[in-house]
Amino acid sequence: MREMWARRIAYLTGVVVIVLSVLFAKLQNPADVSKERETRLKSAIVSENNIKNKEYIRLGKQIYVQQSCAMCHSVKGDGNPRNPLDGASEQLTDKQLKQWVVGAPELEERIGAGVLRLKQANQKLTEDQIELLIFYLRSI
Amino acid sequence: MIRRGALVSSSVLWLCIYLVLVLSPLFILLGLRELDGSGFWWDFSMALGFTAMAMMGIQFLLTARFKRITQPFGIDIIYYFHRYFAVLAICLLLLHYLILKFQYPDALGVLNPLEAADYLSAGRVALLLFVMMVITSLWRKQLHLNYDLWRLIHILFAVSAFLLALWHIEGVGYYIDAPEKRWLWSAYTLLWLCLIAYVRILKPWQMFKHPFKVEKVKQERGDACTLTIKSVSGEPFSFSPGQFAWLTLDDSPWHIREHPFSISSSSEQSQQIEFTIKSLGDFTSRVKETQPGTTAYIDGPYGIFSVDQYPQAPGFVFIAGGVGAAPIMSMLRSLADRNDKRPLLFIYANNQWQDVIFREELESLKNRLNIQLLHVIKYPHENYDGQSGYVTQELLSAVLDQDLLQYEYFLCGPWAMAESVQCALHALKVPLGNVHFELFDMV
Repeated sequence: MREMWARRIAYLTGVVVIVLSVLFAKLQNPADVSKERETRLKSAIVSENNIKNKEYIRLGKQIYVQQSCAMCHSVKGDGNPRNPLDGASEQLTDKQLKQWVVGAPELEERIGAGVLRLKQANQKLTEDQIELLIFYLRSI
Repeated sequence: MIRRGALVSSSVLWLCIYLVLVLSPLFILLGLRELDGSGFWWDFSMALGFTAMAMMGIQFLLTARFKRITQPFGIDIIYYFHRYFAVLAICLLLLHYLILKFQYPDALGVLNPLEAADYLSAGRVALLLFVMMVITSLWRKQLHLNYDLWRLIHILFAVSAFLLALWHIEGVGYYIDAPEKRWLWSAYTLLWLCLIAYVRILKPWQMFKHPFKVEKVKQERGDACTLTIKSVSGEPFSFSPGQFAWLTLDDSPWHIREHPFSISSSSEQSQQIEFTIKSLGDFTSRVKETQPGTTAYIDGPYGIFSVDQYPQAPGFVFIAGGVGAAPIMSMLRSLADRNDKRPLLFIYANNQWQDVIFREELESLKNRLNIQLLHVIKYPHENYDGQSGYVTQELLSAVLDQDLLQYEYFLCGPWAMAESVQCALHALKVPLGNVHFELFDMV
């Protein structure tokens, strides 16, 4: 009987935890923010069609995949949604974009040492490869 | 002596503290941030991961045997919480992983640990170790895992999985990046690490500083024996009758080869304590070979299975099977030493008459206690004229008159017997709050 109570309390805790986790996820993602995200995704898809040089984009995307960028970033909803890249390049110059790609030390205060280290894995890329990657980032 | 009302309110208080501890990382690390969701499934998965991690951390707290925590529930129930919460936490962790696996496969990268990010591999290995821990614990006997080996595996897996999971969270990083969250998370992590250090290093050290010695080994009926143990420093060992302790024999307290046994001696004679142990497994079958003078370490006493919890009770009914009589014997001996004249009934079930442990002493206790003794023998010999068979509802209804329904009941015996007697008492309208027993067949 006492064991049954222990089991019931565990079940109840499970239900409370799941309900609160759902509530938390709902609160973090109100409908209007999700809509804004959706609009951003749609415009990103349109901008891809406007870019003529699809071969560069394809090669740039290949590098994006090879470098496992999707572990920390998402494009059109694919990958880690914490840091979406859709439209992110619009406000940046090519030089700034390159700093973000290779984890330049100037960014340390903004993104922290751990993330910077992960980005610095891209320093192994050749200049051409970095350019192709930037080309791809401009297309999304 | 703790009143029942106080016990209930303190149980509720501890349950609330548990929920707050489990949910606090979720709200501290995720809830305090400004609203910038990453999609429902992503945030749901993260919430589950953090909560499951907090539950895993609190598992160390549950088994640290803090008396203030164990007192309101009984330590056996704390171990059941430990078991059910582990299963629950594993389900939450699996859900955390599966949501990411199917909703965001690119974010997880490759599975191969040689190519994958180290903190993601750490998370995967931690999950695997947690799953293996649950499997080896739930099905230890079916897997033919020796108890000592299982405990060693359990502790090694628990500590490694937990540290790997911390590495995983640290590597993912972005939920603990802000300075105030970093500070809170570090404090929370430190709390867990201190707990591990307390349980595995400091507590054995405290035991090491207070060694005991085996004084006497006495052979009992039914392939059992009684160890008489005394503190080396001569300090008395205070306990309530019916409590138990973890016993380490001829081994270092850091080796974690300890086993829980009920104390069978009187609490009024605390200069020495006795454990009556039946040969049932690897360790227990070697106990009878113990030599006087052997060093022992004791962690205890624990448990709320005691007449001392109910000082106002009009009388007591004890129902035991086999060596389950050990804690009952401690209560009877203590009541006799205190010259307590309240009415007692002891229903004692055994397989065979010649195996009845404490048989002769129970007869002599009749002179010192107001006790009615009823032996129930499963396989009676030819000339046996007492009660035979099992402790059934019919038998109980024949011996329990109306007055006895208000007594406090103590059950101790094999799982099946404890369950069936409990159901029978419930059917006979004995209030369930008056029925007490402890369960010790968890792994």
